Amino acid sequence: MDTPRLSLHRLMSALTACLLVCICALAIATPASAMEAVRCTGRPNSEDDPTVIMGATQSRITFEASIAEGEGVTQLTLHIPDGTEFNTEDLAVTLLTGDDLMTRNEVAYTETVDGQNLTLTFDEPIVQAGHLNVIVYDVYFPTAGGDMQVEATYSTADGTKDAAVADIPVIPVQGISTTEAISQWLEGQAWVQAWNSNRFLRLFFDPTLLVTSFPVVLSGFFMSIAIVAVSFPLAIPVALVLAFMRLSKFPVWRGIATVYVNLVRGTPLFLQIYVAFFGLPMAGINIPNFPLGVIVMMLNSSAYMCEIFRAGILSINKGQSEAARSLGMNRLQTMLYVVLPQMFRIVIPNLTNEFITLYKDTSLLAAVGIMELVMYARTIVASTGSITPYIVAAVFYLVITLPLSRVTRYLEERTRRGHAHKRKSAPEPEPTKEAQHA
Amino acid sequence: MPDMENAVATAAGAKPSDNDPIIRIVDLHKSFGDVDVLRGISLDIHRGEVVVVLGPSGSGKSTMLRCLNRLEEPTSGQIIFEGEDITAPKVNVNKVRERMGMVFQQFNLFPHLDALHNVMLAQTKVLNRSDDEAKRIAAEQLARVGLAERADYYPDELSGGQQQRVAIARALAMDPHVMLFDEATSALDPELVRGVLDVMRELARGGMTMVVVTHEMGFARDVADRVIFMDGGVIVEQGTPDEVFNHPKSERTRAFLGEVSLK
Repeated sequence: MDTPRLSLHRLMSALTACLLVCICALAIATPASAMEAVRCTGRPNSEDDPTVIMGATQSRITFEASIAEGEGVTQLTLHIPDGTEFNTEDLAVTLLTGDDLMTRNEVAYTETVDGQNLTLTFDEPIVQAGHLNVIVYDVYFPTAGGDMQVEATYSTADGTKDAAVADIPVIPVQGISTTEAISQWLEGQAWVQAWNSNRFLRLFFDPTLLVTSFPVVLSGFFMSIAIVAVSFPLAIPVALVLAFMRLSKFPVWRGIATVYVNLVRGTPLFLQIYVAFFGLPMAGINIPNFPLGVIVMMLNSSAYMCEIFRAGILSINKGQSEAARSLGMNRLQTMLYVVLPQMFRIVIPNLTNEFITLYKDTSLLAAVGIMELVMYARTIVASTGSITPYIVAAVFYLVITLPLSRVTRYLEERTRRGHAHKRKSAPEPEPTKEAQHA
Repeated sequence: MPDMENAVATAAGAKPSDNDPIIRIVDLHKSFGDVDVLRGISLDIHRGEVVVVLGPSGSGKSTMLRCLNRLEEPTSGQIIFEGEDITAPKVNVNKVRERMGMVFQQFNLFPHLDALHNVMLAQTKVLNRSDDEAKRIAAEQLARVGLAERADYYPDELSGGQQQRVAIARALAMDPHVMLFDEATSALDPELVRGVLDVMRELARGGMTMVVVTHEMGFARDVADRVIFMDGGVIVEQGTPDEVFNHPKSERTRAFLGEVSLK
């Protein structure tokens, strides 16, 4: 029964031998890559999240590598990732030694910078075992963010040249938007700080908030535009029908339209919005916010437009419809081909004004939680305590209303002067019958 | 269908001797509120006849004309047009108007359309003519009134006289059986009147049945087959131009002609 025990013993000696070989191999290999990365980090710089490193925001890189006893490192070159800005005026180069690495030793060096390469040449080769710690201040990672890989090479006194430090961990950098980048840049500017030291200016015109709230309020702008872009064209046919009803011979039609127009024009839009948004759900009618908002704006605007159209139709000379009717055109044809084309030309300035009013009135929908211009601005106001986002919202209103009122003025001017048609060439002298028969 | 009617009408129009009047007005009354504007007008108008209606303003001559195509609703009385009582309640007044062209004192061209499209519009919408046909006819009619080169001009680019001639072309393009002229030259500057009158003269020479309300005595004298003098909502006197102008029977006619000639 000796045989199994013998074979077991053999196996164990074989394993031991293998283990020894491995350990020896490791022991030999380790000094060969004597400088090993210990850490490579960026300093978190986000105000919102203390673990996040953001692009285009001031940070710093801490690089630490271990040096073996007697290594004799003479030079270390750090390759800072492309697109990352850094400043070399304020470097900290320290050798940490001792069992707990708590002893800090100054290292004398001279630095040279070549593009993204920062080279530290040590006055004395570093022979003491320890961790070489390099801190680069004033680092700005690229705005777009990404995984930043710092590369490092070193040389030693015994002739190792430009050996790479392996396994340097990447620094994860979160990209930030351009506006955040601009805002952060602004925050660092002296004039902005001076500007913001005035309480009034900071409250209403904080440059950094102007920039950051822009894209947010822009979404609200699109929403407001979408609301008018749908409700305004829908209001036109409704208003035309109302106008025809008000001009109808039949008292019932006239009555219905008149009551509707007076009700809508005689009550605040705000109230109408409340009635629609709180009343309808109570009545069991559930319409999603956006369509309901559009419907309310459309119904409101159609009452005002009805009066514009009615006045426009009445302003067309009676002779126009008489001429059309005398040619055998019926009422509908007369309205469609003779009265309405002229009416629309006349009411365009008033319609433009109505558009401006409707656009501004979309702000009232903020009261029922529709995410339009004011609502978006309000969310930032709530989180920053500055009124500045409202100012940004105001700009978004003016961007539409100012040019449109200019257009209105121009159209009114043109209508008043009555130059609707421009000849391509000056009219030639008249070869008229008057002349021929004279 | 309109084409057949037109063919008949043209044939009939070529025979002025046709005894049936194209328009017969029987005891026509019209009042606006308590104001009696027309107080019993009876009148026959024959095919191819040019009837000129004279009278002081407020005599009801324009109202009478506007009753003929029912732009004014008669209070009572009958208007029989081509054998049909057009004052009957069930009459399709649009169909009647297709056959009666009207020219207004204020032209009433459609300002949003150029001359050509002014003449085309009712052709395509009422007579259902194709665009090409309507355009061809419009061009013909504009040439007929001497405005072929003004086809793409808008009304506000034309003189009053030119506008009125476009208005005449617009009415003529519908192939009317009768043309009604409501003081067609009264709003024109004196130097522009002649061109319009020439077109009307030409039309009369072509055999068109015309009822012309005007203050142009010369035109009445030269062109009218019959002159009617109205005053106070009734026909005071009628006859050939020679009878009415040179031998007026009524005192009121004489007074009116005297006043007009003094102007």
